[in-house]
Amino acid sequence: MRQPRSGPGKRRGRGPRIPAATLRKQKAALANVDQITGAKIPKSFVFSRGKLPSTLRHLQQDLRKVMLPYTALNLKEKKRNNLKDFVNVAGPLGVTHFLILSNPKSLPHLRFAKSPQGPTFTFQIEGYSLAADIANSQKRPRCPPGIFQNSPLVVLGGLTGLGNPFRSLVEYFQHMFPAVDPSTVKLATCQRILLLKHDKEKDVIEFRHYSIKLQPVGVSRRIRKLMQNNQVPDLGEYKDVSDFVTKAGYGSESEVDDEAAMVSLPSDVDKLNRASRKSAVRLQEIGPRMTMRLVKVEAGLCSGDVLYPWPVEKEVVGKKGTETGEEVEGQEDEDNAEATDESEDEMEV
Amino acid sequence: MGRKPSAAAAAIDHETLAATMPADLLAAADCGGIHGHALFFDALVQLIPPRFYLPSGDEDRPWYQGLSKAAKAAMKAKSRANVKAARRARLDPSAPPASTLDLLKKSVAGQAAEEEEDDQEKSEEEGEESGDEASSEEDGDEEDEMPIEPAAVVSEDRSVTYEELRERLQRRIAELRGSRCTRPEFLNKPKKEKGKKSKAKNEKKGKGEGKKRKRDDDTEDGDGKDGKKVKKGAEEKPDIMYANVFVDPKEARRRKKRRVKNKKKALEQAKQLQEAKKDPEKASKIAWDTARRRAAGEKVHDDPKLIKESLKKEEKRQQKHAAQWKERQKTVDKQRKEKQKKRTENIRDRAHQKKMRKIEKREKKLMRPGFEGRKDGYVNE
Repeated sequence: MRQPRSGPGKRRGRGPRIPAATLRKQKAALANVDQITGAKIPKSFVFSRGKLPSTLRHLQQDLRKVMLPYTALNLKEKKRNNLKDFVNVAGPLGVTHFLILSNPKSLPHLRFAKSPQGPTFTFQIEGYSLAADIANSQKRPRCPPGIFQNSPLVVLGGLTGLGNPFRSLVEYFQHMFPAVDPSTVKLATCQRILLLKHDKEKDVIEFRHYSIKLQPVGVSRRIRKLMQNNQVPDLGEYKDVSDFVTKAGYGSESEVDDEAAMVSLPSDVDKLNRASRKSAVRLQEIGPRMTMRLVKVEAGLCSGDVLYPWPVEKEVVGKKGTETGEEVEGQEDEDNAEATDESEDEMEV
Repeated sequence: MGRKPSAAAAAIDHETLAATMPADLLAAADCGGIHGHALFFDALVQLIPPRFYLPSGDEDRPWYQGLSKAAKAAMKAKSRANVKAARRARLDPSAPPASTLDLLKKSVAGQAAEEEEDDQEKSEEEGEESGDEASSEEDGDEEDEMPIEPAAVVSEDRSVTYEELRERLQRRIAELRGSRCTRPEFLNKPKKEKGKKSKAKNEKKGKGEGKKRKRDDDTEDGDGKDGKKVKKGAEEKPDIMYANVFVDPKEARRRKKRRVKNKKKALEQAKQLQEAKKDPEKASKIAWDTARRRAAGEKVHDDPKLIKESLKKEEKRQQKHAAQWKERQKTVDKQRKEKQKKRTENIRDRAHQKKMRKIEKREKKLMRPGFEGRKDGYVNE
């Protein structure tokens, strides 16, 4: 019997022989690289500092699920781990973003930071709901496990044209997940949406996490169910198949003909949603829901100059703030929060 | 041809040619002369199915392989319907006849529709045709003077379409040029510090209902985004932004991991930056700028301490490598010398051995009994 492969000798026009170690490294590097921008894929750690009550621990786990797949789902941290430890580990692993939960003075705070020297955005969580609560509140909760295999799409609302802290915040959120090229992306991989909406009056940011479902429009409910379930329906009470197919069932309760929610698909998504047909985009909320307020922006990783609430000297000098009155209001509000933040800093590190 | 025309043939008028069976035509062809020849050829033409005889033009035949499934099904249904209709028309006693001759005449008549001379003949023929035994009725043919000039017709058509084609070509070129974006392909093997080119295409169209499509809003934050601004038609600009999508290739190249070419230069720049930071009004601007760039993933080297550290590291690394190289060289030299020494020794030894062996042999001859070997001096001493 002839051996199918001829061993390490022949390369058959593939060029000079590359040692296995180099090949392995190249493959590892390629896996780390985002195919679209050529940059690294941003990875994240979600962890906590200090003692957290159990609901906040659930929130931490929910946040980890939001950041999947490029995060450490089962990250174990010990009390004695410093931030420095995390930074040291993050380097070789290619982790660039940290989401740090803490609970100073019983007020939950969430910090978004960029790993080696990046800016830190500290938010105070004014209210939150866990994913389990949201699922309990829905009539038909839907969370298929496959949707966590791709990164969510990020949608930012109410953050255009704002001044300095929000501009960098926008950049941060936009680069928290790998890039998506709209002309080449496979529609079947866009399964989740992360919505961050800035409410101007209250100056809070709403954090919502949805799953995307495409439903073909114009297909009757029975046929759709038939295609989805792939089960043989019970035709016992029908005289004819046409009765089954054309039985006038009322459409689903949310069959509002909202033109904005219907899109014409550029390519096949799955068996039901075909190219150049109309489909309705349905969002169903999964994942945690948070209301956050920006309290601090620092230039370093939980260190460095404090950029956002504006340093007090500026106000005293009466320098005409380049920001709108909204920022000044924020400053007043944050004066109270700032006191707590200082103490929080002492607890850390 | 001195055949006598048969009575039946004589009964048939010369003008009632259309829709007569070929047999009749042949019979009628017996009347001599050019007319007879014409009738003969008409009979022949009548025998050929119109599908083969009349030019149909390429535009009627679409390229089936290139159509989508739905279009193919539609074409199939249409062709089936066509076949059915054709069969009915063929066998329908009351339908206008569609024999080759008629169709040919129709096509020719269509060209020569302006010619007025046919009108009168038409009326005449219609009158006479009513009494035809074959299954033909109104056949509005202006048949005599068939100015069959298909070649002329086609060339005229062709010149028109040539212009049209050219125009289409120009339009297409302009369109392609507008939407062109030189996009280098993504290489298979990532070359170490260059050549990680991004595969970014231009966004072709901005659909209004683009919820699934990510497109950028008006205010760009300087990040590489959609080169084309897409605005919804009549709607006011929605206050929505999307995540990092389409990257302009130029921006991508600019942003790529550029190895800091000259660290010393970077050190100088960082120092200058420090100086600039002392200036209070610029300080915050600089700080925000760096924060923004860091948030966007770019590595900003603004701390001179770190740059110094990395400079030192590089120096040390270089020294270490140099030392290792020297080590290597030394070992190589040493080994070489050893080998050479060993070799020369072996050669010398061998030569020596050879000499010894010769002496041995020589001496062996003198080991006679009663004789103790070679002696240096005289025998009596």
